[in-house]
Amino acid sequence: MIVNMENRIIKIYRGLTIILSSLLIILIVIVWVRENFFKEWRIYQAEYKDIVDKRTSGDNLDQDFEKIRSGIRQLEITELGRIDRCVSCHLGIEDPGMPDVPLPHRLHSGNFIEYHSTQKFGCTICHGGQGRALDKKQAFGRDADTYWPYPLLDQPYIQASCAKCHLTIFSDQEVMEGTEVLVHGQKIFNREGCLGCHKARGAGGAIGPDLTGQGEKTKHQYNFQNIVGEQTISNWLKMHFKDPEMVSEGSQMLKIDLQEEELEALVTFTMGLAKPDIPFGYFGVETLKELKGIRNIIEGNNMYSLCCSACHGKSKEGKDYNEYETGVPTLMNKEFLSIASGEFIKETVLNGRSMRQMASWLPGFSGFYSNEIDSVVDFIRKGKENNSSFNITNDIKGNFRIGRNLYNSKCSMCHGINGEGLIALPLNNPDFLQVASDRFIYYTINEGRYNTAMPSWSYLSNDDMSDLIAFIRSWGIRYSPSTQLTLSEGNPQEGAMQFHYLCSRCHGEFGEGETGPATLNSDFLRTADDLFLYLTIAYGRIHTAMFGWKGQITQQGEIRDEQITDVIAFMKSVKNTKWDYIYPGANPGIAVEGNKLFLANCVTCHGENGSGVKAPQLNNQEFLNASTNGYILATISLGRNGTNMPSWGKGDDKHPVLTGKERQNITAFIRSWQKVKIKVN
Amino acid sequence: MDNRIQRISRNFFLHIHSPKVSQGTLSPTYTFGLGLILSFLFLVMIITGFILMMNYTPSVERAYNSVKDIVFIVPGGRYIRNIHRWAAHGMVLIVFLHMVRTFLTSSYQGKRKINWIIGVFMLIVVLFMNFSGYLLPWDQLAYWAVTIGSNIAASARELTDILGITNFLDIGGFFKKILIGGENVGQAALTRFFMLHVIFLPLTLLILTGWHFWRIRKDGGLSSPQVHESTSHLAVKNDQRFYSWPVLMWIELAILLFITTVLILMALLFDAPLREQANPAFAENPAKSPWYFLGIQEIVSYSAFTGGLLIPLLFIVFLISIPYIDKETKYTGIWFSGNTGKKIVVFSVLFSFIITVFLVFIVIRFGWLKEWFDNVPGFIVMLVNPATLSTLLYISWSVLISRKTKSARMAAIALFSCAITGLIIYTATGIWFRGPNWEFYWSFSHWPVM
Repeated sequence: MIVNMENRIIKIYRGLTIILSSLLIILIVIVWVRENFFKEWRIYQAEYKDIVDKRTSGDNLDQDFEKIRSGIRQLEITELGRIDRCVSCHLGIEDPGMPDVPLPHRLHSGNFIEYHSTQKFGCTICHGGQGRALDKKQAFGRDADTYWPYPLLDQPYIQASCAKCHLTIFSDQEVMEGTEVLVHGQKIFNREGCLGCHKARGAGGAIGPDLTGQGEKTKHQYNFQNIVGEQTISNWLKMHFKDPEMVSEGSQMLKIDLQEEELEALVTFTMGLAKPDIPFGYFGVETLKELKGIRNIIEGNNMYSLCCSACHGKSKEGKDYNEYETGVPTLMNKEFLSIASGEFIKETVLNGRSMRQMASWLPGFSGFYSNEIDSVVDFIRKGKENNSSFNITNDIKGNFRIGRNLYNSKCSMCHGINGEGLIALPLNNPDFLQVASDRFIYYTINEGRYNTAMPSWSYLSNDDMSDLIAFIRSWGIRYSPSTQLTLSEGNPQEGAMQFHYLCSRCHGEFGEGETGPATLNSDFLRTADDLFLYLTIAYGRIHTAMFGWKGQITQQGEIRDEQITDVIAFMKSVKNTKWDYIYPGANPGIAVEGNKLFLANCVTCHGENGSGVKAPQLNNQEFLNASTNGYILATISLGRNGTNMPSWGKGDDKHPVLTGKERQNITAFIRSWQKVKIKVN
Repeated sequence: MDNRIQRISRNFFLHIHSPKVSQGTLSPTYTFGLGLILSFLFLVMIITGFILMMNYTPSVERAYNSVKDIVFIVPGGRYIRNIHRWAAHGMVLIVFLHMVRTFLTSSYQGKRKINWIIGVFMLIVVLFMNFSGYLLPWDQLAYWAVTIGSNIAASARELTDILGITNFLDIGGFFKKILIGGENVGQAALTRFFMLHVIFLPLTLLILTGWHFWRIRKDGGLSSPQVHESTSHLAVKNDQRFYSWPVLMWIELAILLFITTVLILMALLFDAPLREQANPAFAENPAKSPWYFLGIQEIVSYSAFTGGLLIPLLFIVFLISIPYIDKETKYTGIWFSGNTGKKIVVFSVLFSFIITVFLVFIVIRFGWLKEWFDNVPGFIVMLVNPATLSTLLYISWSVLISRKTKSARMAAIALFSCAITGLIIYTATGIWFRGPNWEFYWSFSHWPVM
């Protein structure tokens, strides 16, 4: 009984064992066959052998011809940590006898292999793809279910791989054969001013993300939520350039308007930005230097196009405040250039403007050198026209009537319709006209005066200048410094004391001007000669508070020529000093009055509290730190031709004329927004 | 030759097995050979694991590439890895089935108490073997699954946060740090998991397996309805015993071949998943732990502490305590303990199914306390949520059954069936019906592109 049961059970399971064993053997055979036969690569290898056979048949060649061995081939590149098995299918890749056969048997195109031997580079470092794979789908790595981050690249994007070792951003890219699209992309990158917001290789703005390794990002690090069409990196980049906000919500990047060809080039360039972790021997020398932070100094115009042109425009035209949320100021405006000093521009560039898109370009932040910053400031100022020159031998034979028209449209708003002086100095003063030479007047008009509202009218032509000077002269007195004086050398230290005790209560402690004009102003001191200074100090200016000091009795005693020359010596000695403080005393106004005027005239564009709506932000601390009261006053007075800022000194059909005092009050009000009333140099 | 090999192998075989086995235990519909399948799977895991270990590098920079090398370059590597993966998931599945079988046949009674407890620990070790191995490929799937798992380990933080004592007593943080060596999954976690997966846990499992087998011998072999110790009138009094060699030998051989065939078939047809390399900056959405933890992940989504710590612990405590509560030995070896038991299983499953699905439906359709009232204290949400409610309801049902049948065994069957059904439903929800942001979706095709 028991044995029968036993036998039955044994029979059942033995039978099962036999069936299962057979099944197992069949399965193992299937696996063996699947792994070793009918593989894609074997098919290609057989094809290749056929081709070679056909080419060598009939000659005596096939006797000496070594049989092509079948089997998996691979390139093991230890320095790059890769194993590329592409050569298992691409047997003819280095065979010069195979330039004209279909892929995958064809010889590699161009002479790339000459300089990039397969033993040293492999294949995937340039072409992308999954080197380990032995079938086409896995090797190309393009399908989503291969989960391979580096798909095989086609033209022109494959040129991005050249960028890994050969790309330089800051110097002229050598155009090697096969990299034309990449180089074109680099030019577009430099032209469109991308570094204005983005850093790359250590230099640039900090508003957008750092682009140094952008090309190394894999597909999975991009957000394809809003991308229609091909889900590839190249397509993402194209759509992103066309409309960044749609692709990346919350992005403030401006749209880039390019033709398809240029778009492809820029995309290729972007895909090539990389800092790969491969041995130094692979890089080109220039690229290696750049990756290590060594680069040539960039010229001013290149700096501008690299960093500024995206926002400020390729021709410095800025962006319309009605089209863009915050607008971008124009840098080529005549009025702006006439009053913006190099200092103001440099301060703005270095410190940027907080709460606006203007980044800080301090060398520590931006990665640029201080002389590069200087050169871009120079480049911006180069836009200032200089249309006249002073030739001392010429008689100034201007037409004073034309000069009068010029004067009325440009100068009267500050100097008064009869030159009597409103918020600027009186020009019809006989003492002034007698001691001021034409040269002095010319240079004052041409250069302007820093820290005051006197702009630099350098865009006036020779004729305009002579007409204007003729009109000024027409108020009576000719220049006649009849006094032939020999002035002794003064003592600057004594002069400093004199200035402090006697002059500063009207001219300001730092000569910045209070109730009297700014006399330690470098622009003034450059044009005023010793004689002018002596005569003005000694004999004063009639109808003003400047009395003649010669012969005056003071606490220190009588003022004689020696004291005056001391003061002159002191003034000359501080000619080139840059003062650290802007005092509200220069062009003083009443802020409370200015508030009312501001509310009445300025808020629609500049916003309440000057926050900037359709016009620049005025309560911006960096702006207030960089600008002088004179700059603000001059801007209000002159306006900006070509923008929506009217000239409040002249007025137009939409805007009233504001008197000099009113403009000064508004300036004082704007100045009152400054939180820290020091200008930091 | 033949003879000598046979003699050696028979010797080893007879060292492990008793000379004779009883007929009842041999019936395939009695044990389904689950324990045997598990030991063979364990053997397969060790062999394939050895091969994989020789080609794998447990370093954050190299792990993923070494796995790619295994799949593409090592000859047969693809199949070894596939077998390893499918056998691993098979082991987890079958270890649950084995536990269910053992429970339903009352094979924890009497002297088998200890073996049952050993078995519970083996269940936990198998789960952790799978979990630790899950991280090793270091792809996106692995990385985020373990990140979620480590955060579940930190679920005590919910309680200490509510009590406001996290700064003094961060139990959750402690467990998390022990598990992955830091706040985030990184090299420390990988090294740790590799060591656990390859040395500590296999050794533990081997020791426990040895002990488990030894206890089987000591307890008189597998339980069976025909074993004379069963006093149930349902037991067949025919106690036939067969020689294990060759009868059991053929059975085991057949099962071993069956396992191998199934594994090779699976390896042939389905590749083990390998996604992109782990990227800590780019989270998967949804990030899902391995399937066997998705039940826990689902109830953690209601409350971290109760879902991640309290309820699993309660379940394990329940399992361990069953043999001490249920002393009704007459049911040993009888599936479902007879017709009453069968009915209780059916009703318990139905009851549990209905209320669990109902609770999950409410959460998904209408939200829960936080969506209905403002400022619900976390304490309340912790105590009142679908998981705790279902637990309470299961326990109440079990108490009801206990009152009605006056039998601890029946109560145990009721509670066990409810628990397993609940586990299955929560796991199924976590696997198939949760998509990005843990929102409800009917199927994968409905998921939005993230």
